[in-house]
Amino acid sequence: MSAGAELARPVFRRGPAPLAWPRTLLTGWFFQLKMQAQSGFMVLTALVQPLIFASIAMTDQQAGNRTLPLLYYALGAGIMGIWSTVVFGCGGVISWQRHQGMLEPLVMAPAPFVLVLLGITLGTATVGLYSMGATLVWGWLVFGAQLHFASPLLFVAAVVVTVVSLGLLGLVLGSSFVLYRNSNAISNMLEYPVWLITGLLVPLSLLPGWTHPLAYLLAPTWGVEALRAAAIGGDSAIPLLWCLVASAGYLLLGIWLVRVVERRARQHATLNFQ
Amino acid sequence: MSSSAPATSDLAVEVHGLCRTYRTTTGTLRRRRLEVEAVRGIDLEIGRGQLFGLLGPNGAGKTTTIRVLCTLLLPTAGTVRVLGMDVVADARAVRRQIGYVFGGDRGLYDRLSAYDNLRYFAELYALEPSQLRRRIEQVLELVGLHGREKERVEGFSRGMRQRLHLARGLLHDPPVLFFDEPTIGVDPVGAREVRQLVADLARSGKTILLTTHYMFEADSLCDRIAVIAKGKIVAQGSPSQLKAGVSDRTVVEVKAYGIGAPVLERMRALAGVESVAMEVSDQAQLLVVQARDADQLTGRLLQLLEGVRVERIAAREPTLEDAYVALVTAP
Amino acid sequence: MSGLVAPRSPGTHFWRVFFIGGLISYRALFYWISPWQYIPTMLGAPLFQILFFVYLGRAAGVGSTNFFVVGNSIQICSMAGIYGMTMAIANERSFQTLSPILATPSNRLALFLGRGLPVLISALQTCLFGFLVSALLLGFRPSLPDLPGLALAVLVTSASCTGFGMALGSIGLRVRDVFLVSNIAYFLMLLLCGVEVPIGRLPLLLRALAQLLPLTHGIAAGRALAAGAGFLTALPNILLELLVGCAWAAAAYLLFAFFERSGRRSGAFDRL
Repeated sequence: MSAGAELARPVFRRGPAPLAWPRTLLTGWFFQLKMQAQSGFMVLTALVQPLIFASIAMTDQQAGNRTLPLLYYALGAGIMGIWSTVVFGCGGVISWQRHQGMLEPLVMAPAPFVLVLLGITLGTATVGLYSMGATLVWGWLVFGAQLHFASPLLFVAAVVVTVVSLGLLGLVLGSSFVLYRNSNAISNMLEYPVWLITGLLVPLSLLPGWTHPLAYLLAPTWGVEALRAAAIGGDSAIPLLWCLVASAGYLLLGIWLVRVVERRARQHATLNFQ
Repeated sequence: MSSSAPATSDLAVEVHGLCRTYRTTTGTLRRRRLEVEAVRGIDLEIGRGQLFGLLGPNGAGKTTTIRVLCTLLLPTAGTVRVLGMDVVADARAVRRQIGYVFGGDRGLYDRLSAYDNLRYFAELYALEPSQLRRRIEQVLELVGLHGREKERVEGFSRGMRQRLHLARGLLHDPPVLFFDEPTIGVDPVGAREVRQLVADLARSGKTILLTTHYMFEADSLCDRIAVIAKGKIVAQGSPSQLKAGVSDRTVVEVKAYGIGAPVLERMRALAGVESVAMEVSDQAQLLVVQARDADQLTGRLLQLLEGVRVERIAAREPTLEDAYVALVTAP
Repeated sequence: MSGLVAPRSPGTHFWRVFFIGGLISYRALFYWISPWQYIPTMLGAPLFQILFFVYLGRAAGVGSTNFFVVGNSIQICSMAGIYGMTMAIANERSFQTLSPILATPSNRLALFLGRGLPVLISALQTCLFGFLVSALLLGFRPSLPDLPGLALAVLVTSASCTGFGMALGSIGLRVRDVFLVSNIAYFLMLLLCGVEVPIGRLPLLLRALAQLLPLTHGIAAGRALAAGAGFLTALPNILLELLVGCAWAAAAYLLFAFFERSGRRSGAFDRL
């Protein structure tokens, strides 16, 4: 160490604090993605389930009435994968950070804690894109699905909006899970019901009407509709819009929840294992 | 660097009546609430530019206190101000002005490089993006990690992690720094460098609160020390002031084999003896006897130890460690 | 120090390790043991799984409600069997209790099988729950005279899944990320064993592989019985399932013995 060396003063961002927020968010997103995408275990886990479900759905389609195109199922299975990543990756986000001893440094930084957490959940949701890519390629390679995109630009937009909305939903999950003990057991129960009612592999029209309002509150419902419309054909603008509305709702809920969580953690000394 | 109690206008840290109670529940079927008073009314003042030491045994409340100061923990009672700002009401403003270096193996992203870890936190501290690279290089140079920044933290030794913690604490150049046992688990050479850095930082005008177990560290580095035991401050002052508290004592160290409990009792009962601390090392017992107004203490001890094999017995001047032991073990 | 440990007959010792040792280790290592954990994981998730695939079948126009109910209700036992056994062994390794256990003189077979018993019971419970819920919510009505046969098919399948789980668990003695192997096995079985996809639709190679895995024959027997085909029709499949289960259990025992010996040589047990 250079003993006695004096450091020059650092240069801080000029202007009001909120100007720094987008950059803070994007940096967090980027680094979280970097960390998770490099973990072989995570990647494999993100791939196995969606590919199997895609295979089941597509094999059944070929044995059955073939009313829905294979791409329908490939996209649905891809989103199923993103949802699993979000449930398991974001549900435990606070516990995981605490386990790594990162909760304290993150809370201590002057950046708003919700922004820090959001970067992490967005990064996690983005890892789910592996699932999406895998199911599309798999469907094309093994089942001969037609990868034809009616509006490629809207498709890309839909992908981005879906990932963002799921990252925001992940923020809500992550901050509410930490408020309730045994919530990680609930994670085990959150995959199938959500896959079912959001119409990922089963059209909403086949489901009982009373599940629809619940489905409309969940981002995957709109995301998958937007993606399918952009790929197979149909109106993707309305679902995209609703996806954005849902995202805004999650953001507000998330901001409030994180504030509650941070206050509680400082109250009950749960920022660290002591 | 003044070692006397600072004037109010110069205060970097003010703590008045700090209390912190933990409520825990035990049992699964019949939940019982337990209340643990970790900090039971602490008053502290640290002047700007002072190097303040917080000494105490495990469980005394040091870590709790420092966490309250860092805005990581809410006090149950009392007020705490850092640079005039309340840690509860103005947490974000306080966070911009403080750095917390706590060391240990956790607290860093293992899968990222040292550089990336710093880069991430630099963004969280709102450093100017165009100057980030330079700033990071500067702190890495200061802590001696220059050249290792691209390596993943998972491969770092304990000492290197400690340096990275230091680098992170210094990134935003805070005027107030909190060090929680910064040299624990670090090799002697590394520890010496950390101490040197702490001293340099204090010299450059930073206010520093340091918690430590190591007496010599507190003695050599700190301007003022507070000794904390069982949630209360039992003594406060400069190292020499604290030593003065035991300067009227004689300390006798005994190394012997086979001292039984009755002998110890008799030692404790000797007139003037304040405390007898025993440590067992291999087969031998090391006793530290502190006594006040002790005439012929050595002789009287030897009398009690008749029949026991005594390897060494010597009287010496009390050190800060003795003062600490006396303060911390007082009933 | 003689006289402090009362000598037991080897038989008593075997059964004590089998039952009591098995139960205690189950409580220690099976993470989902508290009701708050058990209900969502072992009962909630299977319930929704059945619903999910029934509706998927309807969307694709394949199979009947009964096809998916029987398939999934029986498949559920593989969750307990595979994950339960993997946890039983792999978690020993992460708690570093594996070495102390292997240092005891207890009979390896009792030790091993004893862990399987609570897992088997748990598997049976979840299957039963699956059928009950399907009867309540989806109008599942199996042929009543064949219910005992169906119960037998479920029992045998649960046992064979447990045996398979033991084999996977043994791998956990050596491999660190054994849960990855369990995950892959679990989901592959979902695809290959005729749970959601009629086996006839699979390519030849995969169909052959399915014959070697648990679930395949048990589910075929279960479907036949639920439809009222009669016990004798289903019996060959039940026997095949039993055979598959025993083969995997034997493989498990051999793998365990092999890994234990080589682990002792290489010190792998405590390396995380």
